[in-house]
Amino acid sequence: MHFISTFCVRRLCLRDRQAVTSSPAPFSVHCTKTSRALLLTLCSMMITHSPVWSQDSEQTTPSKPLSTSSKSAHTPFWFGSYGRVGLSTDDQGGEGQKRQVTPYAPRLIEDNYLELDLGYRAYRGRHGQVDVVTTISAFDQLFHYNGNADAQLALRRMYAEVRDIGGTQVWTSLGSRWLRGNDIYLMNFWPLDDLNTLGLTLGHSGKRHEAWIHAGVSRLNHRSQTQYVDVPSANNFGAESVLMLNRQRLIIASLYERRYSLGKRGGWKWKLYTEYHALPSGEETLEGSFTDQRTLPDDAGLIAGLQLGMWGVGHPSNHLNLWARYGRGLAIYDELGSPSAVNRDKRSWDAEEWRLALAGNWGLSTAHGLSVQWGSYIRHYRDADELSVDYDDRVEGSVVVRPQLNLNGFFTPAVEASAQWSQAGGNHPVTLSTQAAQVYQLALIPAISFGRGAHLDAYTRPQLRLIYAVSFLNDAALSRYPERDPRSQGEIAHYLGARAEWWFGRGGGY
Amino acid sequence: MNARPRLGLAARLERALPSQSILSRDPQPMSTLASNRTTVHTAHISLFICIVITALSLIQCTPPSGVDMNYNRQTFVSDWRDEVIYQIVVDRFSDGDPNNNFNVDLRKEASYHGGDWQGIIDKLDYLDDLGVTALWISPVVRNVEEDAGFASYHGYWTQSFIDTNLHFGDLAALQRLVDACHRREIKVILDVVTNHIGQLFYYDINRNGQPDIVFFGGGGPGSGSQNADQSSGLRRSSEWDPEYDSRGVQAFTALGENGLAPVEWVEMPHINRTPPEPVAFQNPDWYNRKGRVTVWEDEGAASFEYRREQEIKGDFPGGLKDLATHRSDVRQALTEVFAYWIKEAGFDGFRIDTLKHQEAGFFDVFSPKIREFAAQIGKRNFLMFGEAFDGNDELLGSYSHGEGVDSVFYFSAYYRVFMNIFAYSGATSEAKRLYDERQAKISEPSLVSKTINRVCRLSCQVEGADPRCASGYDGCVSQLTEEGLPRYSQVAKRQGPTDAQGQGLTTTQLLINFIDNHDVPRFLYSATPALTPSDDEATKTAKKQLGHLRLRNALAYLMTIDGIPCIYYGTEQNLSGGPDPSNREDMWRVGFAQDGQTYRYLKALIQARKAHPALRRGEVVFRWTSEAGDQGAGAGLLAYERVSEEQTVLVVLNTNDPTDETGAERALGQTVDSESQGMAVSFPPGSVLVDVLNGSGEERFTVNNDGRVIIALPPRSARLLTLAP
Repeated sequence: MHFISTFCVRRLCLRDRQAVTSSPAPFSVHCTKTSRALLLTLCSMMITHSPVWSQDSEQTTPSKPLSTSSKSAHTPFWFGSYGRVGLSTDDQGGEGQKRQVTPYAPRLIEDNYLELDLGYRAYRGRHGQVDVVTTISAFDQLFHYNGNADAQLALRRMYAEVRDIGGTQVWTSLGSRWLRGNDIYLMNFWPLDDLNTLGLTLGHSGKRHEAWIHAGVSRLNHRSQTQYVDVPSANNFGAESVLMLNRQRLIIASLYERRYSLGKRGGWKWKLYTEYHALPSGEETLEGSFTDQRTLPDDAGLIAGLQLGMWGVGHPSNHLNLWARYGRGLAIYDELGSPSAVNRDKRSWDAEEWRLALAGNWGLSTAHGLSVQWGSYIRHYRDADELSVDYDDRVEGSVVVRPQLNLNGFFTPAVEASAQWSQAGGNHPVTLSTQAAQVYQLALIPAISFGRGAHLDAYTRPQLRLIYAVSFLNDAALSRYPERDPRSQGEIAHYLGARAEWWFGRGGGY
Repeated sequence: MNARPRLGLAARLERALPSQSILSRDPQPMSTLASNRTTVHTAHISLFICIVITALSLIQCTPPSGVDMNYNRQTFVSDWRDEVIYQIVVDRFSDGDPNNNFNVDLRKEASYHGGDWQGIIDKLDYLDDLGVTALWISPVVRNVEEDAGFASYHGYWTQSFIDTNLHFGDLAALQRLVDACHRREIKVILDVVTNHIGQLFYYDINRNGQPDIVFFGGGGPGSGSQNADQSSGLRRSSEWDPEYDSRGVQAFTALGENGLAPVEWVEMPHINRTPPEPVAFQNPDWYNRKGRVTVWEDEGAASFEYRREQEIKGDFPGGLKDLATHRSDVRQALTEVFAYWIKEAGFDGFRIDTLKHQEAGFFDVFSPKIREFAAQIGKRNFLMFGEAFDGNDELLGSYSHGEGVDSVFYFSAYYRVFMNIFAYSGATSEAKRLYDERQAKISEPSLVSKTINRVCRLSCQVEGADPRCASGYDGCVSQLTEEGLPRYSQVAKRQGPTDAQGQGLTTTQLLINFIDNHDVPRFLYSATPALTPSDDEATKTAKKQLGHLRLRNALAYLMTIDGIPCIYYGTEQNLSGGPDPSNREDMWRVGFAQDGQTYRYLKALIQARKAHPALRRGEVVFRWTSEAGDQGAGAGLLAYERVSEEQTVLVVLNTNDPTDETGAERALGQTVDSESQGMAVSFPPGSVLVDVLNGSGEERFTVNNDGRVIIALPPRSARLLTLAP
């Protein structure tokens, strides 16, 4: 165990010397003393308590599926993970790159990414049950690939959740977390609700319904929200760094979901979802000064949406979801983004977005385990400026379909076809073309999946897959890339890759 | 990587220009050609996808209208003399779109400040109310972002001749501006630079492949050295902006000169200092490569001819690389890129920058082609006027000969009339003297010979077109040499601007008058007595008020003398900045008030000009001037008639300040001579004249039996007199 613990820390944090001598990438998270301590703790906890870790470390035979839930009946700890990793090449021998002209597009070609969940049931008794959850995310920086002993780490979830408060169905959570509904897996896209904040949630969960209201904040490390300025020291020589711009975005979200039975095992539901975003005014200090300031006006935004969903009809993994969402102002840019354009008042309120999305999975043939996943959406986006002909405005959408076979409970080959279509609201600034950008992609995906045989479906993970994808781009799509970007050069792009993806033991409100 | 040229560049030019473009030599990428074939297939697929998504969303897949390809390019000009031009430095006028405020720093005079084309659209009501009828906007093309701490907010540092400067907007925004102006019958004049590009390359003088401040020389005695034993003759030069060398900038190593210094294009995309576009402009041979102009006056050993050589072939200060505009391919390329803007944005005229830094022969080719192109797309009466920043009236006039520009900025009037008379209270006779000199012959020998050669070469191209060419080119030269050339051509340009009846107009009828512009201090800066630290508030106010009086006095002349008046933005709001960049103030800081005294006075002058055709198109007959040192009631007065077929307007100006040098108040000025005779006018005896500028018209003046009239008016005021109804 000591060996594993040491190994873990060395692997994740190996580079005290390199870290201080290499140039950090923007926004990269270094393995600081704090993160080292955090990782060390995490690894130790995993080794000590997680049955999954133990199982994995003992080289479980591939034919024996790993448990999809690590929550142990005997221990209050649990461990979970989502991860994707792989290698790829294009037809020139370089790393394969995706071709994308819409903000949400087929996820087939994606970066490596890891989430590690750690949960602990801190209390269970007559006052309810309390879980604390931590999720650490690591972004695409693999030492064995780029030789950089560096990592982009993010502490994404860190919250406590109390369920069944006082024996009721009321629950609350406090801390940094995400609140997500159903997604379009094939695009890694939550069309309606995908909230990432530091906040407080109060909810009520029943057998047939779910309701919650959430108040959260975010203050991005971005000049529009956060600014430290050196000012003359109060009582000493030199300067002190003062938090001069301190604009938190307040997000108030609410959800109500109602579920109904459909057939023996199926069900359907409807869901209403809203968000309200508010950003107070502030004073930005101009560069090179501690007195010259300009006012950043307050801003606001809202989202309202509806989802209709159906699941479990015919096969447990069958489902169909339809989303409609309207957004306005600040809320369109979500809590981790900033408005790309403003109106004359320098507010984003005039920005609008409509989304309509449809996604699902359907088993077509039980004999060969044929299932079809698909996702599609269309979006109309208009930014806050008053330009009637504006290249930044868009009507765009994407469609992806992935039929998959389950040949022997193990071999799960698939093909995927997708289209992206993006019509700008004005001329391309260089070519002056008004042509819609289009990308079409066809992929062959031989894969092996590991799950319980009877329940093997399109979402069974872990999955190891080979991917060959060919993308076709029109001129407008090519011109979305900078002039000298090699991706602007070829109408046909090839991708050959091998990827693994897993998820298990996701606890705490995923 | 050899990146292919940007998609559609050649196509854009081909669409805009009627004939085979020299710029379509841009290598057409094979992939682009191939994509044309695949577009048909993808179009079917996209149609299908569009239908599917439409069915899903009930949202129509309608492509945007984009820029308007069927733009209304009709010219609304019937006679350019009817127009009142308003010059706008776009970055400083009005910020209508905060989203293009990239690199904006309002604290620095030489940074971008955020003005844009949308801002001008927003203020068209204001401009309409003032009465201006044409806008001259600063250059629209993409620029090098900055150099040595100065930004390209002015627009004169071209990097791409056919892309818009996104600080101001995209092509659609530019079209919206021109369209919005045209809807109000306001014309839009584009500022173009044909002489140079931005600082996009350096001369690799020491051949080390990087831009340096280089030192060369040494090995011998030189002046200015501090080495008492043996001075070095060491010279310092910037590879960005070396001094003029008529052989071409020379490379230099430790062993001496090493031939022409190589041209090295720079790739600094963060400040958009990248090779020029279209790519044809990346040919080093398209540049004169002689280094920076160093001689600006006929001083020392520098002859007029040598100064002109430097001005024409040297780089403009700031390392702005001089185009070899004597080359036919460069001429053709420049014609095409600027024709592109007429087609795509619908401009009604060009203001041409740095005219005197190009050989007049360039414009003999450029201008006719532009006129022809404009006419082909329905733009008759396209006006081109150039900026020869020089008080040498002969030099200005030399550009009016041949088939070049239609007009020039009347810098001689700026210096000799607006500055000397209205700002500095000089003799008013200078205005008449300058006017009369238009008919004088050119005396500078090199100007005479070059202009005659040029005129004859053009005139004798078509057999029988010009009687002076009856005995050939040499005969033409002999005849003109013997007769002499007037400073300003008396011949209208072929396909050039005309009056409402289609009669061609000459340069002297189209001279662009101005009291200031973005290259000189504002009039108020020059005309206001300098403030001193010891001035109290009353003194400061008095000085400023005197400046305002002088300004309004100058505006009265500007709006009533022949030619086309051009007002620099903010003049009506009493902006008073000094030399560049202080004279490029943010208009929004002073606001767009319409009740200020200068605003109202200028508006009244414009209205008077519009109401009286004689003020726009009439001949000028000077009736009263005074010399320096004149005494009496008529000293400091200036009077002239504007005479047209329909009417005559008598303009009388009193250029005296309200107080004299001793501080004593001056009496009314009167057009009366030492013999108590009034001013002779062309109005019949007994005519009653009424002032159409000032108020109620109750004040009337009667022409006596001798055809004379005595006009009285206060210091720094003006009267516009017509026959009483």
